[in-house]
Amino acid sequence: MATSEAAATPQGAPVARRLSLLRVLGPMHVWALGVGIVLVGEFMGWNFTVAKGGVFGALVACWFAGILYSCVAMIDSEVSSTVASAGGQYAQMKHIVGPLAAFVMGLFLIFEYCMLASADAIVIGAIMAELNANFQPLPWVILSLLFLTWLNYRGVHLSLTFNFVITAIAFVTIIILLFGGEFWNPGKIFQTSELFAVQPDGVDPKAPYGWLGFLAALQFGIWYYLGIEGTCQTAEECRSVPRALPIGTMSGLITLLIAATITWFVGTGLVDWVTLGESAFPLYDAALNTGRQWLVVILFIGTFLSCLASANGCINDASRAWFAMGRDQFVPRFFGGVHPRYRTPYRAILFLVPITLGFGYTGLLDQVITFSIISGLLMYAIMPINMIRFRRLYPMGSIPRGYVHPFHPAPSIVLLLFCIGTFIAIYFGYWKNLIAAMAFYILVSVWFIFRRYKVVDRSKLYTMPWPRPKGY
Amino acid sequence: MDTAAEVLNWVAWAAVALLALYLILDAARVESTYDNDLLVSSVEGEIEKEILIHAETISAIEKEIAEETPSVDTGADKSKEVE
Repeated sequence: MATSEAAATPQGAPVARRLSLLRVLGPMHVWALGVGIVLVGEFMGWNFTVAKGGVFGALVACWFAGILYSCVAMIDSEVSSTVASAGGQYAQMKHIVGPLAAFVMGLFLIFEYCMLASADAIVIGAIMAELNANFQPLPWVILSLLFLTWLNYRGVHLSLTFNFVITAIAFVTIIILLFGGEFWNPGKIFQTSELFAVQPDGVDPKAPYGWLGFLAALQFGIWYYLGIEGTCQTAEECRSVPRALPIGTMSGLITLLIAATITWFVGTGLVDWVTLGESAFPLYDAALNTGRQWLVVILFIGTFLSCLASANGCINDASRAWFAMGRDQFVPRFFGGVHPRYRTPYRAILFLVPITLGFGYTGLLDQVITFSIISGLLMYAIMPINMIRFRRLYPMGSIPRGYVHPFHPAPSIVLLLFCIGTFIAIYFGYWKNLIAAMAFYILVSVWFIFRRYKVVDRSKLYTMPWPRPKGY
Repeated sequence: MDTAAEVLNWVAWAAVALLALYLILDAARVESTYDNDLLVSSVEGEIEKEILIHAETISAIEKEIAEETPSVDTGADKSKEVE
């Protein structure tokens, strides 16, 4: 076997001692990653809040989840602006809480994103079958995943520039639906007053199940924003982490708050609450109700592109988390490999393809999505601990920060309380899934403590040039 | 049966085969050309200090430490050199 230096230069080119991920991303790419993963939630999924809590329940869930994710974005922006490492929350946990928390966080990230990518691919297959009944879903599911894998393999700049374009188009389609429905002219196309009115049988679409319905709606409210925290995964590939991450994440969150509110307004103003609560493609159905064929075509394109953007972002994020865990030997070191030409974590990207395809092949969309959501929520529940500990170990002025979030520790406490509320809502609807997920994560934690951590080279775990934490 | 849809299904399968082939062949080429130690040599990144909040504070602290600490070879420094 050749030595590393000789091997790096097969044609006698200058010697490269270390391979690293390329630092080529700006705020635009960070925005594209965050919004790209999430925007699919506006095109499908959020509408189940209407079935649980009525139209006002859906709005409460939208804003409630908006507050939850504002806390997530603020916390992530501050901590990530100091941790220039792939893996995002995984790397944060490793430096601030400890190896076990980092390992579990890494798994949360991988399962959240792999399963979300699978769900997106399943939906792409379903959309193709909707387009023409003779299209088989399977080749299109695999093609979409392999195409996005190829993009991610070829370079992060390429894949996230592509994501920016398709995400921007998908976002614009929501705006077009708002204007195409002539929102300034209520009663012509939008039937908000009529659809919100108490029905002849006495059911009030605004809150058919009262406050309990509002609580139940919370479990689907996170669809409006699920995945925005994925922006942290680009930390090692940003040209300027302290600038790009906070700007990209915050602008992404603002975009999503606007998109979510418009989505709620358009959906509830064009489709009756019962149909909306059961719809697989709510915005597409809203476009159908406008009676304008060009809007239907535009929303079809928007739905398709949002799925593609989400799957692309998920492949990017899951591979960075797996790569970071490989680099620290929490999983085999082999997965910490970087492509010498494209500078991408190519082994992690390729390894996750069959896993994502496997989840997609099951076709169990609801189960796949529920596990993804539970993994995400578990991650959010740990983040407040991470933030409070971060401020204790590294008080203001002790470590360079690209962003400082206001009112600490209020966002951490609010996030924790909102997570507890959402867990209660999920327990009512999916208690078996919640317990199964918890049991799985506890088992792998035991495996990590008693088996895997023994082979980890702890001297190489912390290479970040950080000062010694307060009290150590 | 819609022939165009049938053909497109096969086109999709062909594209799947091409992409899979490309990914496998390129990964195999990289594995055979480069040493594994080089491929797994990446480490966590660094933050650019000049555009950070409190950068001046940090620079001042670092300067102060540098002035106070005599230049001694620590274990950490040695391990860096070996790397």
